[in-house]
Amino acid sequence: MSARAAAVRAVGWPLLGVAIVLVAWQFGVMLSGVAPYLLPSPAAIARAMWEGRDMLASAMARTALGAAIGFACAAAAGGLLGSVIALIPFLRRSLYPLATVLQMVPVVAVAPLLQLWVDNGLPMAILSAAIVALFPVLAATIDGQASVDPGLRELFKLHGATRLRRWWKLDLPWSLPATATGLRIAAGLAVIGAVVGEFVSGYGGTRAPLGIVIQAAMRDARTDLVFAAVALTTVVGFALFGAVSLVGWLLVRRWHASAVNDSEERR
Amino acid sequence: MIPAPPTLRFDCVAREFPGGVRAVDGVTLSLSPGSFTAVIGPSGCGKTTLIRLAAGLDVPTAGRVDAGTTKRSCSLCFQDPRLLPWRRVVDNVALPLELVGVPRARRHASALEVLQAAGLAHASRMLPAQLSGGMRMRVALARALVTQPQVLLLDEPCSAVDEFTRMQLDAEILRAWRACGATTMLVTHSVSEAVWLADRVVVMAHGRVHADHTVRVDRASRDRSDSAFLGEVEHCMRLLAAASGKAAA
Amino acid sequence: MWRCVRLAVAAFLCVPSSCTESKDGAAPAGRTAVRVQLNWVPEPEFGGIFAAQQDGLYSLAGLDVDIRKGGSQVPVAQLVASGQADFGVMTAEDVLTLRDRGGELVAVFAIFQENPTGFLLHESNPITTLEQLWTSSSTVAVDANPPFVRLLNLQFGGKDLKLVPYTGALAGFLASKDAVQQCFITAEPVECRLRGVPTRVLSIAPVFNPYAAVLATRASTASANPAMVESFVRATSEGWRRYFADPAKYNPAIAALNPSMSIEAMNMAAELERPLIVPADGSAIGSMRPARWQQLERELVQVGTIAAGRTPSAGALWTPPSGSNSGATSTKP
Repeated sequence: MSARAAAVRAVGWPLLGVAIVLVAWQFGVMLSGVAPYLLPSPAAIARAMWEGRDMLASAMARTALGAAIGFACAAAAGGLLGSVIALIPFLRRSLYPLATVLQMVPVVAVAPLLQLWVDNGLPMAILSAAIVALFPVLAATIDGQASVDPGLRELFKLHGATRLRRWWKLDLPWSLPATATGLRIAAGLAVIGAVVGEFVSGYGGTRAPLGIVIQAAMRDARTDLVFAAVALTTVVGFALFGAVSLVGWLLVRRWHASAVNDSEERR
Repeated sequence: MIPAPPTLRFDCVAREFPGGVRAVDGVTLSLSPGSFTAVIGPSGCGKTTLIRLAAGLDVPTAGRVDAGTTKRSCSLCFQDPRLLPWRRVVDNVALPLELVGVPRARRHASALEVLQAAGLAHASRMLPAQLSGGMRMRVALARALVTQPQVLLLDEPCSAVDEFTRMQLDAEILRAWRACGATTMLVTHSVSEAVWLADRVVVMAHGRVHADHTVRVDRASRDRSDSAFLGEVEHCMRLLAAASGKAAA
Repeated sequence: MWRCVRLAVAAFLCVPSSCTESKDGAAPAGRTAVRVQLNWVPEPEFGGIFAAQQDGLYSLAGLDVDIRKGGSQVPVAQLVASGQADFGVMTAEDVLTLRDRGGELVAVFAIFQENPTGFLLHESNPITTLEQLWTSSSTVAVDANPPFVRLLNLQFGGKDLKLVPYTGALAGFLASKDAVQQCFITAEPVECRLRGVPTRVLSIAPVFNPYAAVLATRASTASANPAMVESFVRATSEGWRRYFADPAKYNPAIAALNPSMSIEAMNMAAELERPLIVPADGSAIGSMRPARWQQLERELVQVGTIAAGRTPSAGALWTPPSGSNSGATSTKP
């Protein structure tokens, strides 16, 4: 099987699935006669997207910016904090359970509180995105670094490596695949976090991000526009997820088992 | 000028684990400079604990281990290769030097040198996942040699490879020992391997030395099919069987 | 604080919950089950409905009423139009907007005659008029782009304003002396007064004065079951009369359903809302004039919520089968 045929299949099947769902949805709406303010047809959603393209594009850019910055902050903070926690056994025992519990706090519930601490608009979207994205990164980093092969730990001990040197040359590279997985999850969550932040403090008017567009369309009973904005939210999520996956793959492809096996097969 | 290798001494060494299990229970042994000693014994006899004590990965609960030298010139080759999967072969071999701060160019040259001597120069740019199990073990052995150790500890290096690879690896171990002249201690399951490689075979059981046998076949004329060699193997087998019986009793 | 947390959670779940024990479809023999969806948590702005329930007026009318509380994100108009609630409290613009989109809603009862919506400012804020506010660079918490914001934009520009979502929480307002937020004259200002925070309210009624809270039902329900609708309207109307006769008698039951608002605040709110609910011209509580619906329609066309040339206001008002003696509607121009 050629690489191109494999790529066509990898993209083709999901696209076919999407097409089937859209066609079924369109005919379902047309045949059942369900009111458009309850469930618009894909065609109506596409029309709303096209008619509001300028407004939606600017809203999408704002939401993407908030999510991306929030994600970057979470990645940096989670990686750093996770490493420190993994490195110091006392911290790992005391803080790791706490981090897991904090992960359960729903950001929608605390968002109105956050509003008291940071400015409205972008800063709030960033903070909200960073909060939901932080814990997957933190947990993946800690888990990844705590799961280093004990045999390799022993090898480093045998050669008298200091704890810091061991972290840099063993723990960190070992945990990269796990951290990359955590980052991919965080990328998707960051967009949700940003939209939640926008729900409580996004700017209205011409500076509206997707969260506000959704609210405004909802109160205007523009269900088609609500769907269009939600669809674009998932596009932002996919884009961020894709970008992070690509970077992760570039980082770990050198030694990730699957990547190595691929190169072996090609030879 | 490389200093003369030291004597590796075990003085009434004991290691008791929590729960009262005595893996090593009063071992006294002296491995003379530059000698090759094999330790055999049934599973759980304490031979791996003994070699870990020698390497400093564990500390005895009684007695003392004296490798007669600094820790740095003592090397251990584990049962499994333990290579870092994201590093090329040459960087894996250079790791022990890297960890004590040898500059990049110098440790690279040393690593290439031991790889060359082991006939692995062609694999130096490969990743561990691209190597066979036997090759990985040979890389691990090269890594143990890169520091030019004066005490070389081998913990069942051939336990996970097939018979043919084992013979290759044994030849490689012998060549390395001759080249560096280190005081060497090999832990193994295989009696014939022990007789083929060592000057002296120590049989352990129940954490104690059960027998201590000097191999009577001249090193130069060791041949796996020779009757004198096979006689020595048989003798050691009997010692092992006696030790196992005692352990079971 | 608790209120804002609860609201956020309710907004997230978007699930209308029942104030009383659920009686879904399980009305006692001979009574009709009626689901009433509020657009906010139980407060004196729904006083007449709770009074009618407490005094058993609905039961006497053969109705088994289930009152469901709402929140800032509960789509009441859609819930009623799709038949998931029989009556809902919503704004008049909600009725016209959804009618324009094909939803068959009819308004049966106006709770507020005058728009109780306004802007809440700290008393120390130098802004004293809507025009000053809308030409300032204040940060204002309001609903997402409602018609009144668009009308104010048309009139005053509002280019420098920073509009952020209104969540119903007071914490943000209390935290900053410059804060401005949308309010219900009967709710947030009372809360502030009880906390000793001096405030000023700028009513938006001079710019936008539709019926700010109406009870609406499905057109099909109204035509299929006019007697039920009429009994409901009559009982609600009587409920309001009783509520204003003695609010303190009914507020404890409302406060029990909404622990975040004190009985004291509810008693004050009842006095504040009385002039906005009881018609000044002596007509019955709940009555509506078609002219005001037509004016709202013109305003919605003006701000672009509905397209020109459509007339969703035609038929938006329910006419009781027994004439206008129920007090719900009046055909005065």
